[in-house]
Amino acid sequence: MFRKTNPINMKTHVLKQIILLTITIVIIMIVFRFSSHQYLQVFIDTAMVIIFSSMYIWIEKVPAAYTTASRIILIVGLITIISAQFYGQRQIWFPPWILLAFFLRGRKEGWIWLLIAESTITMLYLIGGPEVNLSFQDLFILLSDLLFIALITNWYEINKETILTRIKKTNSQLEERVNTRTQEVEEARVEAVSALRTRSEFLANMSHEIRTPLNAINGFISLLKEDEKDQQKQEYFEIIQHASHSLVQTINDILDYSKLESKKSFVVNAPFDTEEIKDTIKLFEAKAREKEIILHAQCSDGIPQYLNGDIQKIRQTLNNLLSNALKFTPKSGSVICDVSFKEERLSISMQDNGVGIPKEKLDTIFEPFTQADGSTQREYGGSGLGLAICSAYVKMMGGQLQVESVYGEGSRFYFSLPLEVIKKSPEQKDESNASSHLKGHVLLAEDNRANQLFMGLLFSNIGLSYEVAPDGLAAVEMSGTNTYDVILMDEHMPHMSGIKATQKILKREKEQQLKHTPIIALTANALTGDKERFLAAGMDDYISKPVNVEDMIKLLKKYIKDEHV
Amino acid sequence: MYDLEVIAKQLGFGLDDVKTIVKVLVEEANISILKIDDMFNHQAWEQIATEVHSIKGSAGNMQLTALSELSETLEQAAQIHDTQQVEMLINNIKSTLQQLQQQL
Repeated sequence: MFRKTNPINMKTHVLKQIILLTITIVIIMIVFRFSSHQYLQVFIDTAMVIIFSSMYIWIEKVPAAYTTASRIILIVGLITIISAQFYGQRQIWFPPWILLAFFLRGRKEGWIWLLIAESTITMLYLIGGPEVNLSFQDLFILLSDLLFIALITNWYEINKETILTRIKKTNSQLEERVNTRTQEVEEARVEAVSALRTRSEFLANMSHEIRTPLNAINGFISLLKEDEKDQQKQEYFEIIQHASHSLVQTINDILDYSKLESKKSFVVNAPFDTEEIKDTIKLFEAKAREKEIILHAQCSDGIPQYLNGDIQKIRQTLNNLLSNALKFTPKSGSVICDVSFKEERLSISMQDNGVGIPKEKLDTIFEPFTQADGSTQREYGGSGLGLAICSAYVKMMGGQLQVESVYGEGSRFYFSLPLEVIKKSPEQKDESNASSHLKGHVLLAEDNRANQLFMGLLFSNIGLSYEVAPDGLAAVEMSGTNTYDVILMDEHMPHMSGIKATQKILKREKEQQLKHTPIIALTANALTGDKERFLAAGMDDYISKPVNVEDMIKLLKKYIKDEHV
Repeated sequence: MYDLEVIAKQLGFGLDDVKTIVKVLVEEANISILKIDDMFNHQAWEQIATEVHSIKGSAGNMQLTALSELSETLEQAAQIHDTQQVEMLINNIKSTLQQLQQQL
């Protein structure tokens, strides 16, 4: 940053000054020998001072500021010398110069220079003898010049020290300010991250809080609809239910997105059957037929039967892309879903000949709350979060969701994921693994979020897909609209208890002569008679919390097909 | 206090998954304990038992034995309206949750 002075530099500096002074003195001696004119002496004398100072400035590479300072001193010196020359008072300036030198140096160096000057003059006088013909006035002049030179050079050194100290001080102040600012910026960053997390958590909690009463609304509408005989009112209920389902979907998107933002969403890798991907596509066949759209699924032959990955997220991404493709493709259009597996990567591509995306919107299409344009939202609805969620899920799983589109002609969304192939030949089949891998779809009726996550992870680990009903009413409603292999029912839930929900489900099954879905009670009540109480309520089985993983698998195997059998 | 790595191994879950679930569990339990505080002020014994029942279940699932046992004892103490015991157990659960939070 800046040059540090040290004893070696100081010695070099003094040595340089001695050499330069010697040269100057020799030149002055020569001038004294050949000139007797007083005015000429003054000019030469002054010129020597200037030459010496300039040489010093040039050799030492003194910065411009010091050059200016030196010049001022030179001018002052020059005026002093000239005025003294005219008025014969030159020697009277001598003591103040010494004082100034001492004042500026403040150290022993002033004495050293005085000694050098005195010694030089004495030496000159002794060597030169009477030929030199130096008067006392001349000696004083010479001494004054020497001190003046010393003053200029040393003044620079002193100032250099002072300036360096100032620079150091300024530097440390700057460093301190930079540190303070860095700390402030860091605090602001932490605050912003915390605010973002708080916002996301708030959003997640709010979404959860909104979803719970919405599920209650849906549940009660289902119950009212079942008992309603009036055709007109049935239609009204259907409209309310449809609107309510759309709202739940939007809330679910917000919930998923806020989970992503607050880092509460994580990838759960588990072995899965790739047939599940084909099944997901099949689910959209009815919707495609309804819209008179050709849905063509192309699954290449090289897809392994089992892969290790997060089938929930893959399915959700696929659902979203398929749903979008069907939504934006007009009647008589086509949607091609291509699935292949190459070099340990599962590739999925979704091509439609729908409305397409304008070129300028392609870069922002995966950003949250973004749709191709405002009219898209008005015409097709949606939260604008679906693609942002898909993109984030694909990224979490190690891929990248990409898009190609021509406005007015259609779009192609595609991604590939690195997934490990699971070989499940009978020879390699491990008994415990075989016993812990089931295939089925479970409804988990549970209000506690930690238990939802725990059970969800457990289901995913043993290959089961699942949906969560956060209360009894939602369980009644969801079991009426979807098909499950088994329902796991918590006892204590808001809006409707597990026992009451079970009774409602059983009543509906009986009235509508539906196939019975086994219901397993899931509760932390382990008191005597509890099991009997649940069985008496119509539940098929009972498992207590804390859930033992092996017991749970054993119990589920009673009701869900083991895929290895 | 709790070795989350051991818990993850026993459950066959990833450590990050366990941490996420325990974090959610602590958040929910903290909310529950606030409600329980209020219920205790109103001597709402039945409600205390119902509320702590949820902590007991989720803590048990995650093999947080001490928390689960404290919750079970609180549930029982609330059922027999044991004011002193309930107050002490609420405080114990609070400090257990605090310790658990520090571990995450």
